Amino acid sequence: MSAKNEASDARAHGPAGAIESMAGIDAAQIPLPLYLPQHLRFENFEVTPRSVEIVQALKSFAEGSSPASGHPARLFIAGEGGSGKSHLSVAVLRTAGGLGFDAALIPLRLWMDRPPGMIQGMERADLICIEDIDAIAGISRWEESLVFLIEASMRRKARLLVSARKQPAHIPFGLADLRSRLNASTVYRLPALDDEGRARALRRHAMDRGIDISDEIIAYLFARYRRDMPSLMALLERLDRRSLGARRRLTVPFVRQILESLDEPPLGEAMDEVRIDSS
Amino acid sequence: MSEAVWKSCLDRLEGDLTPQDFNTYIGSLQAVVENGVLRLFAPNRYIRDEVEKNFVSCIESALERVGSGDDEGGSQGVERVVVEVGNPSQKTERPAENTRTSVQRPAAIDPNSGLQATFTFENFVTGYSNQIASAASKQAADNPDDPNCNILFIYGGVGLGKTHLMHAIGNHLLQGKSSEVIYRHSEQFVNEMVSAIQRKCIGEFAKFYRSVDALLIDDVQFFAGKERSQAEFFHTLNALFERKRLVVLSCDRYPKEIDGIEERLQSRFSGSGLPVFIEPPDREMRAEILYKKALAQGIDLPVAVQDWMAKEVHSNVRDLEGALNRVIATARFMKRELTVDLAKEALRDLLASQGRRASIENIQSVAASRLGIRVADIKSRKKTRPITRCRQIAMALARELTEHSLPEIGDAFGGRDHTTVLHACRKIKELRATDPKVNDDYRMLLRQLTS
Repeated sequence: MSAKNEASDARAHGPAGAIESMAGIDAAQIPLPLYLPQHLRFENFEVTPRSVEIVQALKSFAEGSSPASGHPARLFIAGEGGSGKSHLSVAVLRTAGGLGFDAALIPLRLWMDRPPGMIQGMERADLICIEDIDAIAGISRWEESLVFLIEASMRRKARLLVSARKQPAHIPFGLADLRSRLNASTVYRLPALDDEGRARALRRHAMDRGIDISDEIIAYLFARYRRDMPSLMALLERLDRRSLGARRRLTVPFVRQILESLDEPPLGEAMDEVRIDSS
Repeated sequence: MSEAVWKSCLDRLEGDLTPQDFNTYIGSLQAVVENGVLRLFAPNRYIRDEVEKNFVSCIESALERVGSGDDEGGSQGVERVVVEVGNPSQKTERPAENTRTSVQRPAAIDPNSGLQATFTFENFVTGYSNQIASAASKQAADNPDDPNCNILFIYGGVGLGKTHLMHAIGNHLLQGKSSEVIYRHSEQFVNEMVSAIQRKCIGEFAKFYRSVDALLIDDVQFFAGKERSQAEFFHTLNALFERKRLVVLSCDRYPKEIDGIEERLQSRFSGSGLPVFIEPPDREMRAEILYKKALAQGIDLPVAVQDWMAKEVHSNVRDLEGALNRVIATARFMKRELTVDLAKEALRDLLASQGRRASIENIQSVAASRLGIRVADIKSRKKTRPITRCRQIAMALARELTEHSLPEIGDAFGGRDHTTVLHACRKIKELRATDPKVNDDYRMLLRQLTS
């Protein structure tokens, strides 16, 4: 199944259906859709000394602090898959929406095969979040449409948040106009978490779900499973469901049993497609 | 009242949908409740179709739950949901900063001039790389009726100040007798034209644009491949040309080099117009640009920081702006003084790869390749004219693009004295002003090494 089809499926089935259909688990076993957007907030983002400035900049950006007060109106966040860009995007959109701003998301990795007309008129929002702009690099119609969107959003003084795996200077855009406009943003690089950070993030997300996940379980997982955050988040979702379905609390033997029952699909990549690359 | 219903509905939907779907499709809608109908306005037909296909039933279900009484205010008797393209109140663009409107405009046309008051001649940094474009712009702004310069065509790479000059001209004109001065990005002109065709008022559109006092169109290269727009624009240009009204155009390349633009339009740009070129700013100019941009934010950027940043960031003004914004943001966040150390810290990631590209070895290799000389000859004692010229250009580039001292640069060029490097830098500066070939070579190499 292509990434795009997976994403379409994700839309059709909702979050729970998407995760399980990718994992090959029978949906009938699943008691409840437990993945909630409320999980993605500034408060439960794993902040490290290296990301504290970015998170603060994004909070001010979401709250609409004026550029005159030193808070930039255009931000660019570069970070590898799993570094938490989507978590922060959702947090920005939720915060801005909660304050009454019109806030819209443009997920380019999902939209790259669709017509660029998808973004026409989006500049009317107070805050626009363009995710994965590197996905359309080299697609001239998309690049051109994005230059126009950036121009229009600047005319309307809308706030603009753009994210990608790399900084604008390192993305192979065909249109120099696009790269230079992105370079004029305040560019931050979001560092990936180390193992300690990942463990803290996993524990926090588990707590949000009401799961008690011990240090032994985390050590067991880190020794035997992929350690990127999208994969770990998807696994957490699955552990939660199996624990609820079996009415058993999570222990190392139970986790081992669950892991052994997996036929190991490319979970990390799959979850990245449905944008839960949270930390 | 309608806002409360939609807000309650949004709260429900946020819990029902993935963050992706909620923020992408639901977040881009604007809502009005009228006569029992929830009218949802999508920004375009694609979003409308997607919402109609996948989300209307979710919205109806959320509305039912809102109406079931457990939400404050209930659903206010909403009986039907309709999704359409457009704006609830046909909101117009937020006013630009510099607006003086005198003529009634058709609905398809933005009521604002489009001019940004912040861009003026006073805060435009002039130097070797843009002095002709700057002088021509001031001349055009002072004498918009000058028959020798009805069409000013400013061209050059991205982020070099073309848009700044256009706004400066427009703002200057507004202070004089011109009342209808219009600035548009080319795409905006195209969109307005399409809207006029849809509203069946293309005649009024044409009449309006042909009657303005001055027309400023940015990035005309984006007209490429849009034949109907080009035709309309051509007639607008002709009408303004005949009325001796000023037209200022910007483009990323020389008129004849724009692919996908009709020949008659290219001829109009270059034949009837005055093409002026903007080059990337040199180091002194970059420092001054940084100083002025910081000052506009109320910050007195220390000279040492200006110099260091001007040396490190050398591609265009937008890159400088982005780097400056990051340094200022970091200083504010860390509550630290603006120093070179802080700037280095803030821009560490940004500059990591740039440093790699602009090594002396790389400069020698790129210069030698472009000028058809062997790298070994650059480092040798040979003094034939082509080799000497290539060596001098490479030395000047090394001085501009790297942090190496003059003796270090001399060493890298076959153990030469630092005075030889200094002489080379002065010689190239002088030749760039008098010899177009040297200037072109230097410019192309600079672009290649910094793009």
